[in-house]
Amino acid sequence: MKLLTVAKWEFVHRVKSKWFIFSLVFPLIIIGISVLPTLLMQEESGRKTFALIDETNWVGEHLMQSFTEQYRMDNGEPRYEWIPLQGQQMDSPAAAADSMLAGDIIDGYIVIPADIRDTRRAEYYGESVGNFRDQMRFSSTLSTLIARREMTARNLNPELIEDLTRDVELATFEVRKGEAKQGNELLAFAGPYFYVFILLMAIFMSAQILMRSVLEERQNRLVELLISSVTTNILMSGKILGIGAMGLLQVIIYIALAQVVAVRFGVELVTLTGLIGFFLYFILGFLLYGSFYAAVGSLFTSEQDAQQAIGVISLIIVVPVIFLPMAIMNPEATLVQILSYVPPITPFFMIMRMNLGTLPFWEYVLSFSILVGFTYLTMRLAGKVFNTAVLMYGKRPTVPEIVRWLRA
Amino acid sequence: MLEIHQVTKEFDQIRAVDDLSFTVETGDIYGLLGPNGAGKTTMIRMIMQIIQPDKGTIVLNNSPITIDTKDHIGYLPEERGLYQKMKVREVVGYFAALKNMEAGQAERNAEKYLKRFDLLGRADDKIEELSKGNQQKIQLVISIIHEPGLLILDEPFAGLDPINQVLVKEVIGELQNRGTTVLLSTHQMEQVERLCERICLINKGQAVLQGNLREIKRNFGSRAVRIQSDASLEAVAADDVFVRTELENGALIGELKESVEPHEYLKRLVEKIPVRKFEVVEPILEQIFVDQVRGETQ
Repeated sequence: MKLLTVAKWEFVHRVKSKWFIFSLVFPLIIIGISVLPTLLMQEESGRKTFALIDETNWVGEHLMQSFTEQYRMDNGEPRYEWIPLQGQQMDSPAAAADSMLAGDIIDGYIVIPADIRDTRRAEYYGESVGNFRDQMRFSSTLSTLIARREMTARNLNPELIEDLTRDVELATFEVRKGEAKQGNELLAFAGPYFYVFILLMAIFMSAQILMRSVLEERQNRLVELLISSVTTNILMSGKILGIGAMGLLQVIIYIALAQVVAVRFGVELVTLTGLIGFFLYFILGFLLYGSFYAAVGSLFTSEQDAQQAIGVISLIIVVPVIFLPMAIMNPEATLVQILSYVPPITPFFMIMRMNLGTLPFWEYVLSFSILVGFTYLTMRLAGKVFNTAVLMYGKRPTVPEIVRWLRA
Repeated sequence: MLEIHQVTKEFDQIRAVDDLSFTVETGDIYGLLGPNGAGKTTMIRMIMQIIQPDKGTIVLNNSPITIDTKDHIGYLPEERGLYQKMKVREVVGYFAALKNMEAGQAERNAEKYLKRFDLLGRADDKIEELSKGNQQKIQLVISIIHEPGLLILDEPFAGLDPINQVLVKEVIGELQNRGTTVLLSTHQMEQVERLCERICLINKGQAVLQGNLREIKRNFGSRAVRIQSDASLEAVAADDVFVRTELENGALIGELKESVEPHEYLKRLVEKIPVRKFEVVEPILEQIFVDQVRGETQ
């Protein structure tokens, strides 16, 4: 009963804080920054107009024709409009193109030099040279055109040429449990990255908040008042429960947001097994780090000192981050497997691996059992430290003292 | 009834509380007095089970204090703090809930006591917006919101202005009238003087004086006299019948030597000066306190 009172207080206290609102907006900003460019790239704006200065007198015509055939907008109209500037009719076609560009009449212009066959080099001029999509299309279409021309010149059968120069379309498939399923290449990387980062962020943010909550009550000398109503065990458990619930709410919101974005991209990000795994590892990870951080909080009265002490522990964050790219390339690597059984990093490695492929059931059972045992032990020991340290004022406990409490 | 029996507590070889025993009867306002560092707060923390005694027993109504009996104890610690960012109403509600109070009752009592302390209008303010004195009154509200049978107040007057000191004293009186037992720790004697029936004076962790305040004063005080006269009292003060004297509001307060009886001295005095008023007064507790503590120290 009192446990729930403490838990509810901590939960409401934190969720109402400005910090919590910020923590929800912050990832939105991050997502915005990282996703927006991709979104902009995928979203093709309307028709584009390019000028063409063709010094070969044959490539340009084919280029325009090929673009008109290949690239059309949703309403069926050609996406690219061309303004050919013929060299022999003008003094300086480049100057004309430049003034059109300056006048926003065209988006850019292409110069096909007379010796393109030998140099394999064309020029693109634009106010922005960052639109890779258009440039890729120019370059690949020009390559094909020149190749075909060369093959024709060498008397190859036109049908054979057609066949030889067909584009390759890359379809991606993901193989799980033996069955092939068409997927998106984004999924294979987005899933593990997403889960590991959300898990890291949620666990360490919540643990930090828990530590600060303990520190606040010590600094404000509130502990004594609290202990006149509840036991130290209930106080610590209530805090873990309440702030854990806050962390859970936070990740549910994150995942929901991510799902919205993922659906927009046609990526299957959130799966039932993924979710179950995620919540199990969040709960265990938070219990592990939360109880540890709470104990550290109980040892100090100044936030600075506590942060310094916890700093080394927080370096653990680095391990999964460093190994994630390697694990994605090679999830079966022995090192990745071994690290999955080191309890403090088990949650991050297991969530990574379960999103990279199928793991044998025994791996789940074994790693999970080790993690549960280790977490239980940590909570017991952290509880002992907390119970004694939380009411100590004036002097900071020495290491031998802490060891004595742990043995008690 | 709260019984403290031969309780001892040591910190790093310093005896904070040394074989201390006293009993607080139901309905009493009991004063636990002593100079700074005498062991009052340590004793109270042991009653609240924040720390455990090395030796001795603490019993409330014939049974040891548990986390459940603590629901019927109100406690105002000496070290005080509150959740600065939270609203008064929320904080009071939280501590009421921690005492297992039902929400509706907690709300009604919060209203009642905030009003009594003149803070109802600030119920929706954040704690940090309140002055220190007002924060202290909120802490008092927290300690009495569940209308406990036993109320333990550690230095309740410290940091309050005289008006609020009177207010707190009144509220303590009201609680006593409703049957609340109060254990009050302080070094401010004038407050104890008016509130407590019984006291325990401790110094260096040991009881140096305990019992009924009136009796204590009678034992110590039959020798103090208060003299008023239109004549100069300075010459009187110089008389060698006194151990010490003090001039206060045109009156002379003097403590007579053991060999001198007040009524005999009065006979001699009326022959020397026109006496307007002569009374045998109780010594103020502060004097007893200072004497005892100094005596101990020497």
